[in-house]
Amino acid sequence: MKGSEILIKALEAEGVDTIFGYPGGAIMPVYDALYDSNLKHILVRHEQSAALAADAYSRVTGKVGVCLATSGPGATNLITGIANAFMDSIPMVAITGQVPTGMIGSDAFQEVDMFGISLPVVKHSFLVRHVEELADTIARAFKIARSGRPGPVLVDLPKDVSIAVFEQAEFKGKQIEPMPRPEAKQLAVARSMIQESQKPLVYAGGGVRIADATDELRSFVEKCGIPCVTTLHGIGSIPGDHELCLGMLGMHGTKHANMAVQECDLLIAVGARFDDRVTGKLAEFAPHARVVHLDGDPFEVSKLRSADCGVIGDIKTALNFLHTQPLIEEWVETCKSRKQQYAFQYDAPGQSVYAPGFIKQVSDRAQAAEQRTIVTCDVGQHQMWVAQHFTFDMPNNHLTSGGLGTMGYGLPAGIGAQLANPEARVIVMSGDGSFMMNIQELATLKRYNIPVKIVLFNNQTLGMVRQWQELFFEKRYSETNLSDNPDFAKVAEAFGIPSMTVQTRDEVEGAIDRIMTDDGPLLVHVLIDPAANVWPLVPPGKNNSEMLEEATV
Amino acid sequence: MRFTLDVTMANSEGGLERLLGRLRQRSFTVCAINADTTNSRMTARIVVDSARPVELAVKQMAKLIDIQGVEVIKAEEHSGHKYRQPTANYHKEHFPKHDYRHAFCASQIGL
Repeated sequence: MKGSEILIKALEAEGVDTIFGYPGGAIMPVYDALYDSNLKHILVRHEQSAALAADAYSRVTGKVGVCLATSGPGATNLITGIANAFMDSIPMVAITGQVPTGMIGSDAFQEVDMFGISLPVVKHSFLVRHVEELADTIARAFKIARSGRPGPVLVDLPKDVSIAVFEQAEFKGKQIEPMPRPEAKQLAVARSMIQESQKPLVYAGGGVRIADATDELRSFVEKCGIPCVTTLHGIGSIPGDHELCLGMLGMHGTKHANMAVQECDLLIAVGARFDDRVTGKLAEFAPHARVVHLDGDPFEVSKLRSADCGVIGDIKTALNFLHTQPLIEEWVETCKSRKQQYAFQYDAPGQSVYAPGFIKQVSDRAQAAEQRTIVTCDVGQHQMWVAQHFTFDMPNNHLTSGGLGTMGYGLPAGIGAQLANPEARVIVMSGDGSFMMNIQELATLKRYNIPVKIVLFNNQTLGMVRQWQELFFEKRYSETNLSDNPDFAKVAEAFGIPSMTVQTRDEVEGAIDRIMTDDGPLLVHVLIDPAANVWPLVPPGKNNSEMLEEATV
Repeated sequence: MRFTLDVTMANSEGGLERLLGRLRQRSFTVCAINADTTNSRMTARIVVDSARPVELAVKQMAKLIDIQGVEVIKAEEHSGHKYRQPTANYHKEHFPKHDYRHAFCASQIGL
């Protein structure tokens, strides 16, 4: 068997069914082996999209995402997608072609030190120098990617290794290191702290989805009766319309969520990492709270905020052990009352389309439908509006680039999500800045007739940066004007994707009808006010009680 | 602060490079290094400068797949004054794979 055939067999042994990639010189032997294989290969139009689509495929299926590229620029184009997976803890194996081993280090055509380039943004990297190591290396790569805190692993494959012959390759199949059980002593301390607390608050992050602990979190919250706030990646871990869900905390969090954080006396962090967009001024974050921190990654506990009790290991097991019933009726009523008092309003004046209202209407329609809806986002104002105004009931229905903040994530992620779940309704929510970053993937939608619906909010500006320039840089709008954007509806048509443009509110309902009912791909181009901002906002360097609101600016 | 670390790791391709990159990225400046290999294992004594707590370096090194043990053997201020002995040592062989629950003393995780 050739090395390239060993690679395909090894991928099949890991349960891989779909890979995303783009061919080129050094990876040609692998593409030749793919020609006869049962693996489904999705040809994207830029390698970055291969990694981002694999990322989304993983988030929806729970499997390890796989992307493939050639050496040199093909490999370096993957890097942003790999870094995205690293920051959001997504299991991924990225396979890159490399020049033949004898030419490594000779500055050969399309040679780049991909192993070295990848080091800061992967859990581990391999350069396969001998075909005898290939099957075992792939097995190790998958095991590392999916074990502990998941993440991406790079396998760099020189061309001579992929054409070398080895007949004794052994394929081990799927392996994973189980997450250890939490210490009983720590659990007992945590439960005691919860029982004694008067103003406890659950702070749920992306680790809940990673640990597949959604059911356990909901059960814990309901049995204990404790209010819950979520991070961007924690959204959906408790249903957005749950009576104890206070919404997202942090920079663009809800007022009632941030008030609860600043007042609580016990913060129960579940799979969350005290990110700076969450905490604001760290020294003043949750100033009255002791902290119980549950995490599968021991190195996150006390990294930024010292934990009074660290519970390390399997989150599911931990949550099941912590059921108790603190006496907190007054606190819960305060949180619920504020939730009503500070609920978002959708009665913005004027006739131009109000993006939060558009998103809320799509959300309401999706909630009423039986079909599962998955929303992927790009990065910027629309991303925060989705987080604030779309009601999610599962964390893996909301795919967003939280750690790296990758503009251009939305469309490739939509492709990966739709291929991961063909029965779901997949909606890409994007902005005009982000959409241009990977607009070429409209060709992929057309090629495979992937029925992704794209909602493109066009404010002709790099909205979030413009907002910060308005608020914090004396309205000096440096290089954020995008009024020379192309006509996106025409661009979509040129790719063979049906499109429509929405300019006024009376056109919104018809557009949403098409989003909900069209069979194939669709681009809905929504023109919105360039001056619209995301509210509320915690200014940089401030604590979460110092929120700016539209009425106060 | 200046810290002297003894590191034990698998002797794999790029392992030392990965370790040094991790230290640099987390704001630990390598001042001196002495490394040697025996069969499948590498040992390294590394002296680093940083304003950050050494526990951060130990934890970040311990996350690397190749690392088998990290021990802080000396901590001193730049004047040469000896500082307290940090207690964030890490030894993978004492614990099951991927089980770092006991890797740090209780004070490190707040108990």
